[in-house]
Amino acid sequence: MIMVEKVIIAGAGGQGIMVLGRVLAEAAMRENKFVTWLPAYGAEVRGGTAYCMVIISTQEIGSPFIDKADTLIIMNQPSLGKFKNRLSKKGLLIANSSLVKITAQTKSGLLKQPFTDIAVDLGNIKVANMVAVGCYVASKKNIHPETVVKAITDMAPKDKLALVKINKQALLKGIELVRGK
Amino acid sequence: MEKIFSHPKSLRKVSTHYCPGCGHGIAHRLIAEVIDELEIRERIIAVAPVGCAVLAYDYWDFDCTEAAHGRALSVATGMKRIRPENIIFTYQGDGDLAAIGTNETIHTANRGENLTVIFINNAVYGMTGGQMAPTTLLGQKTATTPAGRKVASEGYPLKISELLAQLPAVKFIERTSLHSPQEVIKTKRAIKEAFENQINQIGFSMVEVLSPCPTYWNLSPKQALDWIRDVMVKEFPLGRIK
Repeated sequence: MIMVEKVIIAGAGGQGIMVLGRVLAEAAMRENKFVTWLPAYGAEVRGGTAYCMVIISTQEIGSPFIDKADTLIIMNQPSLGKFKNRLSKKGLLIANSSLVKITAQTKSGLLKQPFTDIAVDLGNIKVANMVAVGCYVASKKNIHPETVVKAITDMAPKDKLALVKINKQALLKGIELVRGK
Repeated sequence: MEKIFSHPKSLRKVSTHYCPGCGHGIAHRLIAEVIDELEIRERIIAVAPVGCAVLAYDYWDFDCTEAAHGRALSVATGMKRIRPENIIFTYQGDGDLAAIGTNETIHTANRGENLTVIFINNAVYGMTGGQMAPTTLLGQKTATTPAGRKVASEGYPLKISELLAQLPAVKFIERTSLHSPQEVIKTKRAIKEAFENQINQIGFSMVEVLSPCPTYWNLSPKQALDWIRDVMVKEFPLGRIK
């Protein structure tokens, strides 16, 4: 059976949006899927909106560009306005409720958790992205959590190996939020 | 009570995306004030560069057009030839004007097109990540000169303004700076003259503005201004060049 999953991830420059997408792509690749990762940068050197498009497929991918995503991961408020019309009707919106207020209700699925607050509680605001990854893999069940841990460990720079631990904690917290304790 | 100071009509009331301490915000505003004072807003066409100021048209409230990187002066030439009654200016960084666009810059100046050029010199390629530019100083560390620019491998900083001054059809070149309130005032005066020259059909006029880039100079905003005052002006002296 052919399975294609298209994810758009968006947030503020500095929230680790690109790494979030890379982790998903690297993990899916380790499970023998075809993957593409397409980052998009604005003109701003600092701040601004960052987003990336990740496609995970059981067959070769013709184009890395995503018109309508199956899943939208939104990490800050401005990104919601910019990207809400890039989600397909039956898609899943995963939102960082620490920074995003969802007012209008749509037919799409909604998962909102306070990723930023959870990361702060864990001790490092920068791992909010991994909490979101945990929620994603637990909801979608398309990538094994152990593979995500392997991807994070492989991707960590040699001088930053000590950070793997808190990234893993954030990932597990995200999974726990969806699965329950 | 008489209103003597207000937000320029030619400047939109929006926040910009520029880094803290960047010179673009000041330069945009000076241009807007001059255009208001000369009452040419309805006749203006700006050509935006490629670089950090690529979205300058989101910040100005007058007609603007885009151009491929470095080609702004050719686009401006085409527009001015067809619509000489419009006041047309380009706003270009040192990469746009003196690297990829050197060809267009020299030949537009040499033909003596009646245009106004605002040349923002921050001695780096900003938007692309702080690489060495033609105007980077000797010893300056950039993304592509991590050990500092060396004569033997990278040559000297390019003085495009001094080069263009040798062309007989070029009518006005002045180098100014943004590093202090006095210099900002002088920059505005020079910009005004460069626009008046076009209105009065005097000919090719350019203002080179030394502008801070705290992000890629690895300095605080205040330190960046001081670096212009203490280091940059020694290599790029201020004043009338032509």
